[in-house]
Amino acid sequence: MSGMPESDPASLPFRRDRAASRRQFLAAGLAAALASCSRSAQRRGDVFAAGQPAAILILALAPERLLGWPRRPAPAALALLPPSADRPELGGLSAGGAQAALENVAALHPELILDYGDVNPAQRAIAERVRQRLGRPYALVDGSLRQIPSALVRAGELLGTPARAAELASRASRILQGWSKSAGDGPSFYYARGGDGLETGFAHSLATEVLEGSGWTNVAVGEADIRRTSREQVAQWDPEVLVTLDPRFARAAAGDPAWRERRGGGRRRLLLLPDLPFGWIDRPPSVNRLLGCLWLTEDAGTESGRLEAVSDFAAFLYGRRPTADQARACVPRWLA
Amino acid sequence: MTRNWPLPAVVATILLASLASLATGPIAAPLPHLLSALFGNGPRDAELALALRGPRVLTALLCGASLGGAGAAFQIMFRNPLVAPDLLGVSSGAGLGAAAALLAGAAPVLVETGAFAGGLGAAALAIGCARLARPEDPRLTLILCGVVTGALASAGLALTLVVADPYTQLPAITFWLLGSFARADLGEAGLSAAIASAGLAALLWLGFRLDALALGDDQAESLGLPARKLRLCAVAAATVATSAAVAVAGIVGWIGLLAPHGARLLVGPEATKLLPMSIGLGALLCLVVDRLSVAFGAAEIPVGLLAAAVGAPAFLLLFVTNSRRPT
Repeated sequence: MSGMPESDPASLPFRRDRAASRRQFLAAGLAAALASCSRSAQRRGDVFAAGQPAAILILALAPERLLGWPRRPAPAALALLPPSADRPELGGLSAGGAQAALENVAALHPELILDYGDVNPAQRAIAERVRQRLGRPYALVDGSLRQIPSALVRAGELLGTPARAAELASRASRILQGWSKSAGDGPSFYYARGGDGLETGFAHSLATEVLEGSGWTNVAVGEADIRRTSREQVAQWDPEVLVTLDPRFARAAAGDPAWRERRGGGRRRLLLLPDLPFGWIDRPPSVNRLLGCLWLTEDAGTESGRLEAVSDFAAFLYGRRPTADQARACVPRWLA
Repeated sequence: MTRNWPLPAVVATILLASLASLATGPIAAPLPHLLSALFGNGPRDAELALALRGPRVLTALLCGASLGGAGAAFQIMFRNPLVAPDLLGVSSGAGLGAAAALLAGAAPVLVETGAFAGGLGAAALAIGCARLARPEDPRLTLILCGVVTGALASAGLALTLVVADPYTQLPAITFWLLGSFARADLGEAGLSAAIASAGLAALLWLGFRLDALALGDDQAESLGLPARKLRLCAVAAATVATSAAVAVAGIVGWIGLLAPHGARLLVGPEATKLLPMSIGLGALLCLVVDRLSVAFGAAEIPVGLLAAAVGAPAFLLLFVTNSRRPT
């Protein structure tokens, strides 16, 4: 039976091509597999966030390096964040909230533990203790609002993303300049926290720093930080505006005369600020507060101009542009 | 020796203290203005003060009366002066119910419902466990089952604190556990008052029967009383009253321990006199604690904290006074 010659000179180049193709295919497969492994390694992350503010900072600068959340955001918040934010909940190491066991942190082999917030003796002691016990670097970055640009630069160096950090720091710097320049005669306000609205941030607390810095006057004075007060005390303060991030309270207070009617007559305004993916003025106190600062900047122009500027910056900060519906849901609302 | 004057005197003091509570607060509103506001033609500030203080005073009265009455009933029944209304784990159960509702982001009225259900659930579990045991000493078994139920509920509560969001849920749960009379509006306070009143009315009806129960089941039955049914009825009534109080005010300790001791000093140990006096003294104590909670600045001092700060030294004083009295 005649058949194809074993060594048909005409077929040799073809066979050589085929062999080369096979090699190329194998090489490409190997490269793809290696790249996939590399992406897997990237997906896993290698920086442990000691608290939620630090996790948001890492998300803004190097999301692929975030190992997990001290507290995983709710699905509604995750929907507004890039896919790289879809990380497990690991607990935290700074004070407050669910704590991660040190041995679990050690098992994750973090390259770095990053904390972002108050730099005080208690936090320094936590950092030192963890550093000694795990033998891993633990960086503590000052989380105060006005230091956000320098915190971004420092965190960018630690996370290996100095270019992104420099760009973000530059925009943060401009936002904070505009925000502090707009400080004028804003309305007096009461910041209602919690479902019943009776938790509040007293004047000069972290929770109300964004509003106070732009010239709004906090009526809650005489205490420090977050405390509970009474409805009668709020009525006695008689603020012009009730500010809340809590839709439950906003719904309850909207139709309640005791909350809405002012002592001298007239109606008290009620402002519901966005809380997704993170609060604009608070909750948690991280770089998310830049959105509130930008919204309160008068230079940004009309309300629609300000909202557009905030939307653009949020897309840059979180690395994801919300859909039109999502964007419409995440705007401040003055309730009737 | 017991006297006849204390109960009317305590009732009169409660009325005066209620008026004083309505007349004092951050908004200046003199009593005549408040009375005018009560009939619908007072100044705006007086109307506002009345609308805000009324539910608060009602909540304080309800909470104190319930805790005082329930504490007295438990102390009589269990023949133990160290027994408090949260004997069966009611406070821990209510705390767990409220914390779970706060974790779920529930509205305030659902938080109160969760607390009420949690309190009743914890007590029901303790009673159920005690009945399963078929013990020789049912009172001791009930106390032990209450300790176990309370510990379980406390563990659950601790778990909610661990998983709560530290920026939103954790402060809300912590503040709830510390107690406040500021939460309830008139409707909620009224509903809780109705439920607590039913429990207190049942306790008052039980009256002398509680004394018989204190003698032991055999003695009570020899007097023709169904001991087990009566004890269940008394425990249920005290639990309902306590749960209603804790649901609107959070965890307020010491009142249920202190009021019966003070009452015993004034009217002696007889249940028919001790119960109403404990109810009155509890209400009065809570009114005082409520006014103190808003008297020291703009932030409210948690009433649970104040009740402990006032109650513990007062209890010690009563204890020393009682022990030095000639027998």
